[in-house]
Amino acid sequence: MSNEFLTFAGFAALFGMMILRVPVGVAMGLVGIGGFGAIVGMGPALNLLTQSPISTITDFNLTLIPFFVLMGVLATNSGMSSELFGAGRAWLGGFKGGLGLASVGACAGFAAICGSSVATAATMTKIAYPEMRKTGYSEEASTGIIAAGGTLGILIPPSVVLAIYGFITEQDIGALFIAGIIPGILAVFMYMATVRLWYGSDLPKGEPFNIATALQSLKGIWAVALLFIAVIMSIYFGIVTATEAAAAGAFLTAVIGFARGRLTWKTLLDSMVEALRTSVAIYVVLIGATLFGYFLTITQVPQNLTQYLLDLGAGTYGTLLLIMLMFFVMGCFLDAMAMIILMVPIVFPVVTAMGFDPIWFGIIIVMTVELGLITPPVGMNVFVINSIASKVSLTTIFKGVLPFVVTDVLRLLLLIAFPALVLFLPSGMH
Amino acid sequence: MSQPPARPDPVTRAILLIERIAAVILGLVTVLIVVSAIGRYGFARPVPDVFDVSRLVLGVAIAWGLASLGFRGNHIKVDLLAQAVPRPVLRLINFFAWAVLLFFTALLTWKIWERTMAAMGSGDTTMELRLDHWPFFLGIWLGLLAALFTTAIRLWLIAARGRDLTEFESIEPDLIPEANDR
Repeated sequence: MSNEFLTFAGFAALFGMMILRVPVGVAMGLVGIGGFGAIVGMGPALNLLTQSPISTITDFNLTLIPFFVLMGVLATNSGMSSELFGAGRAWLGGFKGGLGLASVGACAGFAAICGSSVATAATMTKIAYPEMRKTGYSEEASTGIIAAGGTLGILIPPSVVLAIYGFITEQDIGALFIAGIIPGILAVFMYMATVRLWYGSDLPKGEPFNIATALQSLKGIWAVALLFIAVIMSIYFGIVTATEAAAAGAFLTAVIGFARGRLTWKTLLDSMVEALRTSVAIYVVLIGATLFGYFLTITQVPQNLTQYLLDLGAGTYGTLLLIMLMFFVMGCFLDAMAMIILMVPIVFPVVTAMGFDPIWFGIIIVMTVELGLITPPVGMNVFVINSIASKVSLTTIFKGVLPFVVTDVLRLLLLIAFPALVLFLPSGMH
Repeated sequence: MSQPPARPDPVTRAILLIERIAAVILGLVTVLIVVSAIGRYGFARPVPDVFDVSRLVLGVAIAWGLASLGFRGNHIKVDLLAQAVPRPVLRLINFFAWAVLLFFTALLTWKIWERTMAAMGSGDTTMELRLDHWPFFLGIWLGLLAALFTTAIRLWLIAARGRDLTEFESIEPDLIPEANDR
């Protein structure tokens, strides 16, 4: 059996199983074993199962995933999001379209303690959507703003997706987190500009600004500020490892939740169960990806793809564009996490062969994947908002988020043109 | 008058118990790493063997979490086709997907048993406290064995009762009226 045929059959089986709802990790694992077995024999292929899955679930570097997931779940269940929205409203509510701006700001603040876009979108739909509707925002504008704001969850550190990218490509996870800060801030400002420029004429007038209320609102967000500083600054200054920072972040969030009377033992237990479920789902994909990696290695898919893309003569940026396009198209069908785990090992050798910085590429590819969260047919953030605000149709939300897709593309182009925007902060890390 | 919530069936309750035990393990590992970091940076006295113990114990929790996912259906999967087909076809798709999962779990259970046996014979231990690896591997294997049973139960529920894989995936109900009613 030729390598080409085996590669084709492997990928056909993979996508066939995935479309038939087989868990992504399981499909990757079975193709990995089957493909490896077709070349070296089923005995050695099955023996991969004795080592590889145990190595994955007991890998110390991966333990930060459940900790960051737990931190996000605890932050959600402690009601920190409503205080962020309150502060955003107090400071930005005076402007025309102030609640929209406040929602973007609150999404960014929540993203700073929660590494999940879906959780950010779900939480903010509960808090910000009813308020925006009450003050006269259209369904299109209010859901579009939240869907886009939610994508900040996987870019602004801590980000579970960035952590997984770091693990797969053996890059410093701390450096990746720090690299996400400036693109994240840029995203916030560009989203705010989009709110004003795109929806400007339809937005309601601002609320009267009161300095006393604004200052009072800051009291509510000390916990978020403390958590962000404790986790991200300790990584930036090299005080603790990313894993320790993640564990400390989860621990601190629980302590703050209890101290403020926002958490009970019951909600703590429920949060831990929810974090466990999410983490296990991620681990299954990672187990599958490790097994699939053997298939990729033996069929030399990454090497062949590198050669193919370099031979196209599209130039480095042309090739990068092709890769991004591939991620964008696949992002319309696949979960963001699964796509990073499946595709990054395949294209990463191409990227490094072209001389791109791996940290920079991580940010670019996570931003590309972000687009998949708000574009049809599988825009996860859009579905989550629709499941909470079920009276708003999917079409309305997709229409509302469209201007933010344009903003995202512009931001991507900006970061490709000026990589220093991504690499400036990590270069100063201790 | 609102009806009291229905009591979950025994399997759901057993799954919840498994999840809670695994979740508490996750919580304990979190605390262990924090205490060790404080000990190391604050007092130059880290908790011994925290590296090995935390990763191995968390591995056990993850394996038991697999039992939960096998039953609840919360694996990361592509629902695009499933959302577009009529119910009888959806049932077939669900059956196929979970049959494949059951096969994969069975392979894992078989091979990790071999790994556990090998660890027993080799005398692998942790770095500092010299704790044997095999009890942790046995914990992982037991989690997989539980996953084999829970996945089989879900497969039976799909085949016999036509239950879907998304019944545990909805957003918490208390969120929905709040967003819609205002």
